[in-house]
Amino acid sequence: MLLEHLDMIEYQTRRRACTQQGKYRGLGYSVYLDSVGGSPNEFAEILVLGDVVEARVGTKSVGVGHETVFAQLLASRLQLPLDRVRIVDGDTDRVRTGSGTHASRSLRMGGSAIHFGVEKVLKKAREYAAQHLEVAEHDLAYAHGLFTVSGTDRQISLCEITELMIEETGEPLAAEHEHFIQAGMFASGAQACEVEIDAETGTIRICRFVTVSDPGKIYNPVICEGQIHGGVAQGVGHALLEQAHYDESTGQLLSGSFMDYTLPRADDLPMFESLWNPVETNENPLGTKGVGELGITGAPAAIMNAVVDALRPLGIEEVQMPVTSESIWRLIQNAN
Amino acid sequence: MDDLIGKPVLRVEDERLLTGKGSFTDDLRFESELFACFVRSPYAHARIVSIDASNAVKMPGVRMIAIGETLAKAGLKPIDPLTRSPDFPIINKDGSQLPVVSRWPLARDKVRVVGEPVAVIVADSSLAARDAAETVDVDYEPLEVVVDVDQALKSEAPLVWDELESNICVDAEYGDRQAVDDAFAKAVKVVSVTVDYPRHVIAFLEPRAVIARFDKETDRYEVICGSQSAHWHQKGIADILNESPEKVRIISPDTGGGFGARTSPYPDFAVLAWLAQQTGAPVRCTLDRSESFLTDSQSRDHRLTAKLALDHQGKMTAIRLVSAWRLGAYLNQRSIWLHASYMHLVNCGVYRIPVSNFQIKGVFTNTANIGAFRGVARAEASFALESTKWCSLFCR
Repeated sequence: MLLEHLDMIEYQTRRRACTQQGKYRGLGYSVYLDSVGGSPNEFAEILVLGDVVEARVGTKSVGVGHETVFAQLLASRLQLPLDRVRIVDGDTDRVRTGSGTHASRSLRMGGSAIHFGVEKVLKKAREYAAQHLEVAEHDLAYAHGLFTVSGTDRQISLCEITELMIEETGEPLAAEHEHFIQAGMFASGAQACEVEIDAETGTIRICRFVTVSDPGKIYNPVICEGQIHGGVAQGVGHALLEQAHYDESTGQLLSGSFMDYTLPRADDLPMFESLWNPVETNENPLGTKGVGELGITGAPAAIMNAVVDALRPLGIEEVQMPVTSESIWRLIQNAN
Repeated sequence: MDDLIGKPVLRVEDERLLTGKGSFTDDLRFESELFACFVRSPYAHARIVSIDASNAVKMPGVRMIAIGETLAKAGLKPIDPLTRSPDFPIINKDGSQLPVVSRWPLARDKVRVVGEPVAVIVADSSLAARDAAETVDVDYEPLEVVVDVDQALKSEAPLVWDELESNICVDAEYGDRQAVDDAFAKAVKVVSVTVDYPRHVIAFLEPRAVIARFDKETDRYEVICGSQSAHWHQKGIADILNESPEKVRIISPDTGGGFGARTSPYPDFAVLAWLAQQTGAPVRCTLDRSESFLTDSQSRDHRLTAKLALDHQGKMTAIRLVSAWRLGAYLNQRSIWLHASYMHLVNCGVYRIPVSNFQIKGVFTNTANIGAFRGVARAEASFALESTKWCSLFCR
């Protein structure tokens, strides 16, 4: 898939054109495995609070879009519109327990806890609805927040059920689930990077960056793509720009501010080409593996292999990260 | 609504976040709140001879000053690095256990890294706290520093931890060393590459900030801080406070990035909680970017040697991955186990390499501590493997 997309014949043309302009062009790959999952426990509680269904989950969205993806999951499992679900996280008084967001785990672990929590809530609701409507549970059909007695117009909503339950017991319709999976999970990917190096100055430009990723089932393609972009951007930082440098005799951090420590900026990055090869897993009810770290895990290797490939005609085989224009310039001078 | 799954639903949180309506820790304000500022060591390695805060006490607006001994006397505990927790099992290859090097929230006997806090000032304003912090007179006896891994391993190297015999924190091995030796003996071709995976500053967007409150009625602490896990913060902070977790409520409002550096709590969060209890007022602190550079956990910093054995068809028959790892002076919770076990887990990558051997030697140095960062251990392992495989295909 990656090779098809790259079009190697075109690449050879680009490489020749570069050489004529006094530049070296290189192509590098990486193929990699990403063990995901972290802590084996995650927790969710599902509460029906009037018109709104709330999921309280032990993961924490740190700008990574759980507010949206978890809402998509919760709404779809309950057949409700997005504005009737709400996600709560990051509060130990409101969420009973949890492990958190790390190791590309949130959808697989937190999402699975939500999935099973919804199953439990719907089971409780069905039991209550059957009793209330005086029918057998299997005579009830659930759709869009309503239990309907098959073949009749008799129905009761989740909202009504929770109100009745509060009247009777003081507690709303709710269920908890602690999801536990000890076994590991693996996502994987392949990446290709094309770089151009100016022979005179050593300046490196990333011309292309292609990713093929298997995060398992994709719940929101825009957010997944954003995760790949962000991860690759940090990988570019690691390969080309970033280093926390300590003075050996005093232990002072010499790159102690953004004046001396370079994070990648938009103009350091190419347009990313993100392809997907999602293979669903049956390890969890969501079929998902994880995406958060897929971008960064392969990026440094793909970039550095491209740099080595570009400099190969000069007999240069070893280049260390972060590979700056200065270090390339020195390597080129030594090779000449 | 099943059609929501797999659809490019736009982020529901973006309108709020992109129009400045986000609510991060530093955005929150409380009545009669006080401001904390930490006095930090300018030395990477020094003995604390004395701390004289008599001038700071007299500064306008100063409410309280604490040093390491104050916290110890009040019953606070150092943070446990969880190097011996059965949940995160790791032992050295000689069967010995890893050291439990305890980090006090404020340094007591000596400082081991630049930026380590030695005292904290609470005042009516942030500027008053900073001004007072500058007047605290700490008498340091500078010690020889050790920054480089090779230097740290020398027998005459200064010890980061006086109570240990060397600067080695972990020397663990995974996989089958003998089988890998045999495979190398039989190999038609052996390719070896040594690569440095540099150390990085994690630089999440929203600098570390914390607000702590204490409710006398319920005898409970409330700590508001950006985090990736409210419950792991609850446990860690309660342990430092020597209280049960139920006594501590953690609230993580909008959090501007984590990337791994906000999984386990920073000890200063517990200091703020204690200060709130002592002063009876909300106490807040937002670090500036320079403090974050010095004291946030950093990442990677391995020198990796990967060695591949290949047969006559060029198939990989064995891999050996060896890491010399510059840990810094202190340990993040779970960090050693996390790096070692994850790196071993993926050291064969996607390939069917029959046998593997992974060795990791982690060394204490007078640098900031290493924690998880996005792709932790897997980025390093796949970088070493893919560089070596690339070399085997195209270079040698």
